[in-house]
Amino acid sequence: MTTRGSALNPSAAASTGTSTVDASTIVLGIETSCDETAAAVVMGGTDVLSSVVASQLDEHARFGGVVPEIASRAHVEILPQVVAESLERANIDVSRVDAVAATVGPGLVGALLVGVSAAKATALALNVPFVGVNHLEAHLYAALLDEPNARFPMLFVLVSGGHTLLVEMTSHDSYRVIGQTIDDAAGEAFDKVARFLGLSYPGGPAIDRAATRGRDTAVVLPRAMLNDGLDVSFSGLKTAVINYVRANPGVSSEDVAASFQRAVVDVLVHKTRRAARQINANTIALGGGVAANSLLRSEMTKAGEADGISVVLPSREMCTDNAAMIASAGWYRLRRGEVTALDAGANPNLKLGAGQR
Amino acid sequence: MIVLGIDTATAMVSVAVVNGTTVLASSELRSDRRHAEDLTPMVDFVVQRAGLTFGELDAVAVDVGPGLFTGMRVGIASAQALAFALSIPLVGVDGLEALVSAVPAASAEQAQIIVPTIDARRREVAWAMHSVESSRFGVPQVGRVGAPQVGGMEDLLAAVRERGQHCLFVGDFARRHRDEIMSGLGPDAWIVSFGDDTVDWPHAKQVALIAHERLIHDEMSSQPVPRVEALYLREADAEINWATRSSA
Ligand SMILES: [Zn+2]
Repeated sequence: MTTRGSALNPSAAASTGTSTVDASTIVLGIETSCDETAAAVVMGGTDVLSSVVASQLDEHARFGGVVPEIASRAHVEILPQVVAESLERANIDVSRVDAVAATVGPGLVGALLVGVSAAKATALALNVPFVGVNHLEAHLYAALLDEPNARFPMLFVLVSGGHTLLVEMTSHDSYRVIGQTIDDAAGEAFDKVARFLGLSYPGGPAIDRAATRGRDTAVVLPRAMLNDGLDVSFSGLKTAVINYVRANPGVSSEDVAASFQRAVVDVLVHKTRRAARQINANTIALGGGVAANSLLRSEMTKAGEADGISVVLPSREMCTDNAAMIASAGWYRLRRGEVTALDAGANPNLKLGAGQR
Repeated sequence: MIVLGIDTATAMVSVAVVNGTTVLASSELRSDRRHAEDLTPMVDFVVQRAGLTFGELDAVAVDVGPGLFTGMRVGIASAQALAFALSIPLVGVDGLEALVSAVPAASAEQAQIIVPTIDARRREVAWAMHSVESSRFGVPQVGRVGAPQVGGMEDLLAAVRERGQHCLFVGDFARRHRDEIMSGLGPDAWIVSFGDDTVDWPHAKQVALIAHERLIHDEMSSQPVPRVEALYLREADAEINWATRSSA
């Protein structure tokens, strides 16, 4: 067992220029960038042996959003148990771990540092590599878990509470952001509208549920196409919803939810098709919490069929934050020989395609 | 018994390895906002300099606070992970106790109470009261009175006034606010002294030594998943700051 560890040892890999990262390589992933404490064990980049996610939703719900200090406190308290459980469910001892990956950004800095510190210490104690992972990149690998052979060029559509990005990928390590929101992220718009309608937190699932009982043509709402570039905007839509409800207090919140959701999905699907055409995409991959939205999933699938492009959707639990996607992204980085030094910290503003530090 | 000590609860990051009561290796670094960056390489360095491998460690000890919240968590998260990966016990030590244990016997026996202080930011300080009793073996016995507190300068001075005894302040906070403390207590009412810069910060050496003492005396029930509680002394700031909510 020691040979496997030392084959991956940073100094050994650097000196020989080779490493044995293959289908049997086991990566322990750790994710603490926001309000989910997660650990997972993934073999060979795509074989998820376990994925444990402890959500702090209840602790933040009363504030209507994530409180950074509360999140950090919860991470440090429950991470040991979450890691232990991920190994237990994978039915392996911690000594079997070949590398440890953790989210280094973007996210809440104090929260990120809990996972980064734990991951670096684990890697040091086990004498295996540590790999810092970009959380945004990891969302893509959530989509690729079930479709590891999806073809490039790929359009990666990341829609979450913090991000709305259209990303061109020509290979595993080549990213270019070609479109993004100029104001609210898609998930943020869902949260804000849900809160305005008095629906539960988090807003995404609440709107999804309410919309099934409403008519999506009941309220006429704008679709900001921004002169048909690839950027999107949701701030005007959110304001239009608020103004409409104030002017029509008797309107059913189900109708508003359905109409709002339809408008968001229309904008996202329109921009996605346009971007996919522009880069000659073979694949459209979705990621992020909003990718769990039922209407977005069905409309994207339809659009892909119409345009002859394969659409890759992560399972719903892999859309929201988890550590399997971190371990997977870590495996791909390791395979390229990218090991992160133990003096790494967190980068709360890490961008896609930027270096790890 | 070989214990690895970690202290990242203040601006001074330190790591030490002790064997029983002997310090095998230690290192410290002033690290204002780079605790996570500095700690892991320091642990690696100190264990190597002690001539050990990680498999030879018998326990991990960590300063659980009070102090800088993010710093405390970097140390605790690292210590928890090390103890788990190595399947060895984890001991949490409070930083005020670590600080007071560094006071030399010669200084301690001059005082009736020792007050370790740690900067709690926001113009507040964390402290604890320790009474000193001379023992028949000539070694002053220092025991904690009451629980650690956090508050403003006035709260600290009120707590000291209540005791009205020869008081020795230690810790970087007390030294920086020496004049304020002296004038606050009045010129003759108290005999006050201050520790020197060797007792400005809690240190991983003390953390490891205290843990060693505890491990050999107490029945430490070994935890399957090693965990320690942080000593925050303050509720989480629940102010919602949407501006910092940047995660995906
Ligand atoms: Zn995310």
